[in-house]
Amino acid sequence: MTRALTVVAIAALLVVDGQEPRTVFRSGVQTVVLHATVRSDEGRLVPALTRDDFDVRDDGRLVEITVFSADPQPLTVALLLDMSGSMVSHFLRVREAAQHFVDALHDGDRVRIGTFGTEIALSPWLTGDKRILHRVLREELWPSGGTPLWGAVHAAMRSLDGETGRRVVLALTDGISGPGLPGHPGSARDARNTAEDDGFMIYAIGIEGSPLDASITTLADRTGGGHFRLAAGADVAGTFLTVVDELRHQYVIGFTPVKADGRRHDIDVRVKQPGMTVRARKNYRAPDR
Amino acid sequence: MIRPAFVVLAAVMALLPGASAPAETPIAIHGWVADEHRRPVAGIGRDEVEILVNGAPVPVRAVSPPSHGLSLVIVLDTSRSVRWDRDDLARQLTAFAEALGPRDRILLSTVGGRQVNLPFRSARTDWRADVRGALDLDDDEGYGASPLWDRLHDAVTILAKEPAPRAVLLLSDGRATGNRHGLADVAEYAMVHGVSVYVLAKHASQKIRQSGGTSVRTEAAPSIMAVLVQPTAPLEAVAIYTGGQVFVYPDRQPQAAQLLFSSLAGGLGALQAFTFVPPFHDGATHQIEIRLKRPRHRVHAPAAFLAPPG
Repeated sequence: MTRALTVVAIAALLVVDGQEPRTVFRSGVQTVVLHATVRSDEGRLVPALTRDDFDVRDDGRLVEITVFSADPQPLTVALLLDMSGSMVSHFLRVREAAQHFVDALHDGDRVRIGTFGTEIALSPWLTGDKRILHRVLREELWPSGGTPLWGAVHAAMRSLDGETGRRVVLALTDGISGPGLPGHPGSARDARNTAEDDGFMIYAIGIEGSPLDASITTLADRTGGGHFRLAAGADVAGTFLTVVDELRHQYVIGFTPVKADGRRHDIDVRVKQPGMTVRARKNYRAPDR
Repeated sequence: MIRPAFVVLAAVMALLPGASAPAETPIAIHGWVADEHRRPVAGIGRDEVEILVNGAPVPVRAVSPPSHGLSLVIVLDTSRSVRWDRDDLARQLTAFAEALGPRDRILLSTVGGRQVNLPFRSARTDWRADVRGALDLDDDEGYGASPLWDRLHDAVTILAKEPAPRAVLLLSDGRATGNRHGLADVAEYAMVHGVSVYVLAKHASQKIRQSGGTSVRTEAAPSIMAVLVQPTAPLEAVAIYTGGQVFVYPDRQPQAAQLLFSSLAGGLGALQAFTFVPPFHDGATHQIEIRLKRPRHRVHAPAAFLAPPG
């Protein structure tokens, strides 16, 4: 035990937490900010586009892009791991994949780890300190219980309420949401409203088993996130890293709302060049003047 | 040429403040002796005891009863993942408390959505209403996190203000989540403050098969086909490090539970102070082992101590 404690202490000394200041883009009354992923027809991420390569429409009307950046943005992610009974046979793979995810973080990135199953438990730590994140993965994953997916997604979004910039919820699960848990309100509809109105980006990774809940794939599409379904034996860690890579290569695009009417507006983002597809949030709630 | 240089250096060092031999600051470590039948043994003489620090024997100054009563914080896990027979546990805990010494005191606290910390009271009081009240809280629990390590940390903070001996009794399934503090931090914190952690673990281990074929291979475990989930393992590590013990709570077996509580009360009632002078005054953690020279006897005591600063 003494040796174990010493190892922990030594590991702590190896963590370097240098954080360089980065610009964080946030939506405000005058500016709607969205994050866009551009892939080629072959599925590769497309870097180095400029403001002029994009068209943005607000309820069908072309708007001027007032904010643009192709610089990597720091990650603020709530990582939700499904610990339900049907996931127990994937326990080691899930934990190891999450460890790879943590290892892939850069300075300035921050992650909160949460689990759902018998209970919905979110770590109090939203941090880029890999020592703490690895400790949580080592000590706080307990397989069993149901799949209260929506309560967990809702709780994860609420846990990022005070954060600015891009806020991502990444859920690893094996399928359909089960009954919720008392004390954790949040249906699929509640989660959709919160995600769309407050600008959360949802990613879902479905591990082998039943297909992902259609509600979460739709939500991922509408929020500009993504969803992946893994075949038997597929590389979970690799998929996590794909998500990280995607988040690092997103473009930041901002525009001024055409109307401050308190309504939900459709957003359509396109790249002018052929052979590319864009994923970005599909709507936003306009400010109410 | 080298030797005179050392002599000069030693002379200079001797003149520096704090460089003289450190004052002998005795340390008392609390523990209890169990015989081969795990029964507590009283009346241990100093000459019967060996104390090893980092594997080397050190002189034993005294073996004596503690100068104060035990300060015990009972941490009761009321989170939704744990199910207690409320009446039975209330009865068992009250019987346990009544079996403690007249100077011993208990503070009852909970882990769950709504944390309770009742003040210290004499152990020999009727705890049934308090235990029932604490357990009834779980009706309002929200299936949230179970920050066991944080509550243990809180308990040690409370106990640090009390005279030794100090102990925590945690009743839980060991499924810790949502903690600000880590297991190793809490174990170290408890050891530094001389708090022994005892655990009644509600849940035993669970073996889970990993998904079939070669697909289950991972970097860390290329051939593991099943994994043993043992929530009690981390608790056991903390208990061993701090001189406590872990017991699996015998569900729906009131008589076995009664025996377990009785044995626990017996051990806590037989705590002794083992006093020695540490060979190091460096403010660092050192391994310690306390042995009895009698065969088949075991001393339940912390595995480490914090040496005083030089």
